[in-house]
Amino acid sequence: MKYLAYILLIVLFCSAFSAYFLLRRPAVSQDEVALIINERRISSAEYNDPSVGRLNHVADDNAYRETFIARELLIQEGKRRGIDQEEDFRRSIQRYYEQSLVKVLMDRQYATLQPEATSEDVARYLALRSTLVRFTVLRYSREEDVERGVLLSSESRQAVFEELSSTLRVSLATLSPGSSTVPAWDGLGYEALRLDAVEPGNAGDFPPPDLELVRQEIINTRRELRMNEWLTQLRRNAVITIPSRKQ
Amino acid sequence: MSSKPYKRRNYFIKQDLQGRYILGYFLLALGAVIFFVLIFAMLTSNTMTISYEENTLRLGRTPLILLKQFFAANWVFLLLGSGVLVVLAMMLTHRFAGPLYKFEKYIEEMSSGRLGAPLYLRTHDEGKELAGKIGAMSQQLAQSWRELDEIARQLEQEGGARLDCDGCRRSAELLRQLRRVLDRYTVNT
Repeated sequence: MKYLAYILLIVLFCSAFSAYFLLRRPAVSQDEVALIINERRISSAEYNDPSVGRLNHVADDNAYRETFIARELLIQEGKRRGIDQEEDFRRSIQRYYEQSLVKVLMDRQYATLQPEATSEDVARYLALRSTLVRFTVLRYSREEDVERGVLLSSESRQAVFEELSSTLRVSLATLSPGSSTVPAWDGLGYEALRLDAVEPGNAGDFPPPDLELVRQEIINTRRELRMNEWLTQLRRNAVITIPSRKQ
Repeated sequence: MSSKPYKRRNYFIKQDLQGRYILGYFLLALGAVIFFVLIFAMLTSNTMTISYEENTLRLGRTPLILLKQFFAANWVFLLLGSGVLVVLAMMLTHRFAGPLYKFEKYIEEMSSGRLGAPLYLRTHDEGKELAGKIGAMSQQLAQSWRELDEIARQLEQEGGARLDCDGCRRSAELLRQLRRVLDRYTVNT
């Protein structure tokens, strides 16, 4: 009989442990109840949770209470109809989940980038302001082609520096004639810029530059370029296999 | 007692032996459950689970999110499963514990002088071969007893006719001792 007693002891011990673990959350006492909506007891802590929308703790905030009740009723009705079990609802959550994940990652990565713009950078940028720049957009289809220098296409352009996009301006401002930027992934392939020549322009008068604005523009653009480099690096580190029939 | 084919109604007849086996089965089942949970946790450690419980969205690694459910499931298993497991283990162990008990009782009877009684086991009992051999041994001893009894009877009849013979007193004393020994046994006919 002692062995059966051992079994009984084990069962009792596990039951006590499980009961403590499973039932330890105390029920909301009557004093702590802020609201009862269709038998769901809402504690004061939940009612005053700032993440739900509570911004202040005014005791008789009727507007907040009505909003809270309406929200709770809608949630209960949605669950009663089984919307939370539907495929469309699951897809919405998946989209939100993925977007949130990407957003948080991008925000964090963006915050780690602290590019600087020296006075030389600003001076170089300003020196090119009224010039005519000739540059070539070099496109590669794959990273292997970048390493081997096999171009997919190249397109020569010329334009007044000031009329270019900020990304092009900041990229070209770092180059000397004949040099190129590091090829970066642009979504379709790898793209690089090569500065071919800088010629005095005959463009009209430009307003006097705000040095701080120029500096900020250089910093912002560089930050975007660094983000692109980081994305390119992510892609470079990844193992991506595209079946030949889908190429 | 053992000559009648009776049904054993006590399924927990050898408590120490059966108790040990039942505890062993119980611990084995408990270990299997824990092992299953560990394997499940290992295989799902890289997956995320989202649950909405009591108006709270919970998001985390699957084993951690399901920890409460693991405990609840194991608790139910312990409460319900252990009772069923103990009963089943008792019935299973009774298939060999019962015959062991029967053998002990049968040999006790043989030791107390009862020979040649049949030894019955139940249909699903283990140890039928051993039971057959013990029964055969008992029958053989009973047969030997009958032969000795017959020899002693003949000696008694012959000795009675020659009581005046020299040295026959010693033989008569030995014959009486043999008869006393033979009388200690009871043999099924």
